Formats: sequence, structure tokens, C-alpha cells
Amino acid sequence: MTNGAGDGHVSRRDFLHGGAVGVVGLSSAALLAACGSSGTAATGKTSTGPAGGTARHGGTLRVGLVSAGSAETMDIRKALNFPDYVRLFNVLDPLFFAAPGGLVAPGLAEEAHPNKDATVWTLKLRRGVEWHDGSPFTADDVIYTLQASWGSKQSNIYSLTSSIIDFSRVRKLDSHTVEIGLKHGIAQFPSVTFTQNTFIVQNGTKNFNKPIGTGPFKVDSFTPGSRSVFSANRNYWGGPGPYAEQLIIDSSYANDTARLNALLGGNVDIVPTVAPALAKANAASGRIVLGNAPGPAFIAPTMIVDRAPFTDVRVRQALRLLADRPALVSEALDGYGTPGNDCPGSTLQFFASDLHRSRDPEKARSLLKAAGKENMALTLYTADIIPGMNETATLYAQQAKAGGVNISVKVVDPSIYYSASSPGGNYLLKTFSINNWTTETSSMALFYLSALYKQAPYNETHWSNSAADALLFDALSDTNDASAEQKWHAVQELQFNEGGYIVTTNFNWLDAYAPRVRGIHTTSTGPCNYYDFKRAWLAA
Amino acid sequence: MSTSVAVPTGSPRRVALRRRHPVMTFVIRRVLAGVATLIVATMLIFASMQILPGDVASVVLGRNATPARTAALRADLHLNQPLPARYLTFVGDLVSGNLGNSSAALAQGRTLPVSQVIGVPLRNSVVLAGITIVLYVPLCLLLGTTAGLFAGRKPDHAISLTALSLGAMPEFLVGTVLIVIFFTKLNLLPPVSQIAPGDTPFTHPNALVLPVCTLLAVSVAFGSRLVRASVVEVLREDYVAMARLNGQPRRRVILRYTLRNALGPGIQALAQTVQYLIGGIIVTENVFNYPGIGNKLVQAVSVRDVQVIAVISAILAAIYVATNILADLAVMLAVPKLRTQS
Repeated sequence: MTNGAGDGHVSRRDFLHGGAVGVVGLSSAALLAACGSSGTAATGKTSTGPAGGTARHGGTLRVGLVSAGSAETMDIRKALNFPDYVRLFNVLDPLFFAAPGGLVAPGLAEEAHPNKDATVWTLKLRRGVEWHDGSPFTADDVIYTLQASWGSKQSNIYSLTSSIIDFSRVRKLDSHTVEIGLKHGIAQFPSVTFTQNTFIVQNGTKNFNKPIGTGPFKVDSFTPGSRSVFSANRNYWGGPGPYAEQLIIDSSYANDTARLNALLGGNVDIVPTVAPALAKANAASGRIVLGNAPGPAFIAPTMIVDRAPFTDVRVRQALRLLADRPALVSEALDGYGTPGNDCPGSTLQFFASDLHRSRDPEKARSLLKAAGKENMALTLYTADIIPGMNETATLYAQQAKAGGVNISVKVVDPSIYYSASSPGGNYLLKTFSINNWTTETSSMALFYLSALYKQAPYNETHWSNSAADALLFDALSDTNDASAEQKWHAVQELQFNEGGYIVTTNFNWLDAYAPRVRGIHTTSTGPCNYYDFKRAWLAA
Repeated sequence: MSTSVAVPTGSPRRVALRRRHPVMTFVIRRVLAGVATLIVATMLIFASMQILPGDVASVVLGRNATPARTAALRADLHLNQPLPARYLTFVGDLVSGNLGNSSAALAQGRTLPVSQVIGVPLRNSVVLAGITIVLYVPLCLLLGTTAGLFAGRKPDHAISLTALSLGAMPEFLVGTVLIVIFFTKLNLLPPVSQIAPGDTPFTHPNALVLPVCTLLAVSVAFGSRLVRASVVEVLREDYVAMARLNGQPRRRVILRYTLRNALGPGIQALAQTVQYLIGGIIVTENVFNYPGIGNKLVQAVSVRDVQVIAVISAILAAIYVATNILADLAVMLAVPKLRTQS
């Protein structure tokens, strides 16, 4: 899920933002749509981004992001906003990279071998990798990272990692082999190691704000809420690339419109995760190349299942039947998405794509009548954290009227939407709210361990079902793909029938590139293939 | 019959002080009132930050906040202290020239002086506002005087209609329309005001054009209408009629008799424009992503960076108050009746 604090966002918005800048976004988008393009955007088609030519080295690659101001950090443990991730992903490396379909590709670890029940993993680390200061990468670095970062209570990922890893059973076997003991068997463990806060830091790192990495770019300067400059690591182990001599990550943009204008005006070369309305308005302008790929990210009205009226499964089922999903894709996402089926994880390995949900207001009415909840009134909380959330809330509220459900939409300040602040925040305590999951959905295992079992740290639906947990952990620990698929299907079927997420829409990754940018692609893995700027090069 | 004679008491210096020059008395009074206003304004700023939902600790920790982490961070940032204590610390630091450190950076374990956060943006905003004001005065005089001299005729209608139309539009709309015209259509000017670190706005004059035009478009309407009204009024005065009847050249009548006397309200209009710019610049900077103080303020609010918000707001309030004092003083100096009355 994307946090509201300045993600760029910028969105993230106070009175001024909401009153002025937010409207700027709409008006600019509308005006540019009217004036800047001659045709309609092919929103139904997907494209991976720029293509063609022979890769060449040199030049400065500039990336535009919405500012999170002074809250931005280079500390991997505290990274929370998109600018943080984008910078760190190009300076540090993970054990395994996320790959399309919820799979992984080798990173600093080349191999991962589980024991029989997948509770102990042996990782073979890559040899010949150098840190930016020239020292060799070894198992000590991984052990240190697990202790000082993943296992630190200062880490934003601690609640997740501590629920998965038994840090007392982490040990070095030799200079390039480590063993990690888990609290549960997880056959997809390598995919779980790829999160926004689990990249590997150097042994003995004390100042996490000045990281020395093994990644494709070295830190020249870091300025929160402004331009940070990186230079190419010519000893990078994971070539080809980096191609650009210099990488500038400019997180000074106040909002999405400003950074897209910067791309149109030639001030930046890449704008990751562009808003659908702006993408649609400019896709056919010839001034940008749009990367558009379906991914597992989704928007969902979310019901807390242990709170009235959602304690009654018939109410949950009825509310799911009231969503007109194709309309939500077309109106809330400007066509850049696919209808959801109430199961998270579209495009990921083991996703139950055979389950379908269609709108049926009559059936919804009868379910509500049976539950004694006719003419029910609800409050649906939302915030302008990513484009489409507020629009989904408003449209869904209208659609729900067909089932006699009166939903009032309450828009909350995005800065605090995912915080414990009250009022407005109360994360995990809002009975009915819109949620989004974006780059944290890189594998089915990671998502379910984050959000859909009794002790999951981000258990937004309060899913607390012993039978469901047993099913989940059986699926998680199955190292045989064929039987695991069946078990994952059973897990998702339970969500499909009884869960609290109304996954109305899976939204596409949308990235905007300057026409001279080549080599980088938007894939189902994530925006710009998870900010993979080492692959980008600049045409002459 | 008894006579009473006023006997001076005290030393001649005391008398002089008691009979202080009215301008000096005025300045002292206004400065004292300004300081009081600033104290109230900073109190309100602090109070308003309490009304905002959430604080920097909750925003920085986000969904990863646990009660223990939140409490520890709040304690580190002294957010648990009573509001009056925090206010007094803030004012005390401010008076001693210490702007403090960014709360958001502290929450992330870094020390980032506010002076470092706002220094360059403040300079950039001053440049933007300064250029706007420099262009604003002659534009208002030119347009207002022309409209006044041709009151009720075509030039007046054209100027008034255009000025009123632009003045009625919000900054973000004017800015967006200018982007569409000068970037999307004509590709003449950049849609964002990019100023690289180390550069000044003057290094990128192109980046200034659209923000300045936006601010002027919205503000000139007010000033030119005020000048127009003054000119129309002065033109009806007997002394202007007399000057005309005496055969004074039209140019002399306009410059010497009409314009000079119409300037009084212009000073107040200028002051009001400066005050408008304090708000207008925030919106305009956001439209063009101009790296100024308004942009920083929006960033700071979004992450509840209380120290940065408080310092920027205090600076803006101080500019507002100072402008008021200077404008009143200028009017007093310009109008002999005000200057000499006891």
C-alpha cells in the first residue's frame, strides 16, 4: 500500500493541496487533453515502454517524483515514500529481485535451497560483488543486514519480518552461505525477501543515511525533497548497465501534473507511476512514450469482518455484488486497469483467475434482506493517496444504491490516512474504507503474510479464521508447484466467498518516458520494472 | 481675576520627548502593535497546527506505527510537552535567531536546520515577488490612468473588462491557461520553473516568466481599478478643471495634477498586493513547481513538519505586518495633513 505522506506524492495533500493543487491536476489534465493530443489514448492496449536502437553509455538520466519533503530518507529501515524506494533501489541490491508473475530473479543471492518443510533456507551468495568502497560482499553483510535492519525494531518492516523470520536461527555457514530459520514454512521465501525495506546494507553500517551499496549507482549527494545525484557504478556485478553516467532523482515536484509537465518540457526523462487521467490526456501527444502494463496492484473497498454490519457474511457478499467493476475501471482508472474478482494478486503465480464476480443488485438485495440489513447506511472512508481511490469511493457509493445501500463517502487527509492518528487515520480500525496495495504485492506469499492471516501486521480486514490460516500455511509451505496451486486456489476461494476485500479494480502500472529514453520497460513486476534505471539509456 | 500661566515642568529634553514628532509616535505605536499582532499570529499558527489531524510522528511512521514507536518518537521530538511550553521555546529560539531543525528530518533520525530548508526557497520567492511588484506598479499606473482618462470609452472598457476577467480567475486556472498557450501550443516557455541547485532564478529567466505573468494577471486587476477610480475622481476636481481652463497642456495636467494626487490610494493598493502575494505565491509556485517558500510550505504541511511550518508562517506573518506598517507610514509621509496633525 502506498502511504500518504508525501508520495509523491504528492499527493499527499493538505488544505492548500486539496483546494488548489488538486484542482490544478484536474484542470491541467482536462486542458492538456483538449489541446495537447489529437487522438484518443489507447487505454485498452498495453505497451512496455520505449524500444529500439543499440544501447549506448553516457548522459544524465533524470527521474521526476512527487516530493515527501524533509521526511525523505536514505535509511533503508525507515524508507516509507516512493522517492526513498526509488533512490535506494538504485544504490542497494536485494537478495532476489522481483520478477513478473510473482517470481524472483537472482540478486545478491544466486541460489536458495529450503529444507523439506521450507522452514530453513540456505542461501548461496554471489561471489565477486564489490561494495561501492571496493570491499567485497560476503555473508557477514547479509547477517548484519538481518540483525541491524530486518531485525531492528527501528525498521518499518520489523512487524512483517519478525513474524516470518526467527532471527535467533540466522547463521553464517561460510563466507558466501547463510542459513535463515523461519517461523513458518514458506516455499516462496525468496520472493518475501524483496520488499521496500529489505535491501542489503554493508556490514557495520552505522550511518544508515549515507549508505554504501552494491547497486548500479553510487550516492553523490542526497537532498530530501529536492535533486539527489548518483553516479554510475562501473564495477556493477549485474550488467549490462548502468548505461547512464549520472542519475538524478528529482523529488521536488509538488504534484503529478507538475512532474508530467516537467517531462513534456524536457526537464526530466522518466516519470514513474503517472496518474491515469494524465496518461490518457498525453498518451497520443507524441511527446511521451507511455509504459502500460497490468500488475497485481489493486484498489479495494475494505470491510472489517469482525465489526457490524460486516460480521454477517451475507452483508459482505451483498456489497461485493453491488460493484460494477468494468464501469469502475473505465471511470475511476480511465481504462488503465482490469476488473477485480475480490481476490488480491492478479498476474501473480497461483492467482485464481478462474473466479469471477459480476454485478447482481437483485441478489444483493435478497442477501441484505435475509441479513436484516435492508436500506443499510454506511460511511466509506477514502483519501487521495493514489489516483482512483476517491473516484472509486464515489462511484461505488452510487452503484451501491441499486442494492438499497446508502453509502456516504468521507474523504480524509491523505497524510494521515495510513497512520494511527485520530480522527481520520485509525489505520486498521476504519470499519469500511478504501485501500490500495501497490508495490507490496510482488508475490502471493508476501501479500498474504502482510495482510491476510490472523497475525498479519497489516490485517486490514481483521481476517481471523483458524481454518483459513491452516489452509494458508499449508499452501505457503508446499514446495511442489502443482499441489501448491491447488492449495492456493482453496485459500483464494475462501477469500472469494467470505473475505473482506472488495477488489473492484486491478490497476495497471503506468510510466511516462521521454522519447529519447530506451532500454527500460514497464512490466507487471512494478513501475519501470521496479525502478530498474540501470537498464535505461539515452538515444542520441 | 486670576490668571493661570502654563509653567513648563521638567527639563527641555523631557518636553521634547513628550512632544514627540507625530511620525515618530506613529511609527512606535505601529511597531508595538505589529509586534503584538505577530505574537498573536504565531500563537494562532501553533494552535492551528494542533487542529491538523495527526502529527509528524504518526505521518513519518505511517502504517508501521506501533504505540511504543509512536510514543518514543513523540518523546524524542518533545511533542508530549504542553503547547505553551513548546510555543515559548519556539519564540525564544526565533528571537535569538535560531530557526530550529526540521521536525520531519528529526523524526527520520537526521538533523536538518530549518535555515537550510528555507534559505534558497525564500530567496527564490523574494525574487519572484520582487519582479512581480516592480512590474506591477508601472502596469497599474499605465492601465489605470489610461482607463481613467478614457472612462466610459472603448479603451476603458477593454482594459477594465480584461483586468476584471483575469482578476476574477484563480491563480491555478490562469497558470494552467498560460501553460497551455505558451507551452502546449506555442512551445515558447517551460511549463515548470526548474532552477537547479546552485543556480539563481536569474540563471533561468525563462522559468520566471509564466509565474510572474500569473501573479500579475491576477493582481493588476485590483491595482489598475483602484488607480482608475482615483484618476476619475481627481479629474472631476475643481483644480484640474482650473488647470485645463488656464490652458495647461494635457500632458502636464495628467502628470502634475491628476496622477500625483491619484497616487495616495496606490500606495495602499501596493501594500495590499504584497499581502496578496503572500497567499498567491503559494498557489502559483505549486502550479509551476517553482522552488520557493510556498512550495516548501505545502511540502511541510503534508508531512506535518511543525518547525518548518511555524517558521515559514511566522516569516509570512512578519512580512504581512511589516508591509502594513510601511504602507501606513508611506501614506502618512505622502499626505501632509496626516503628517503634521498632532
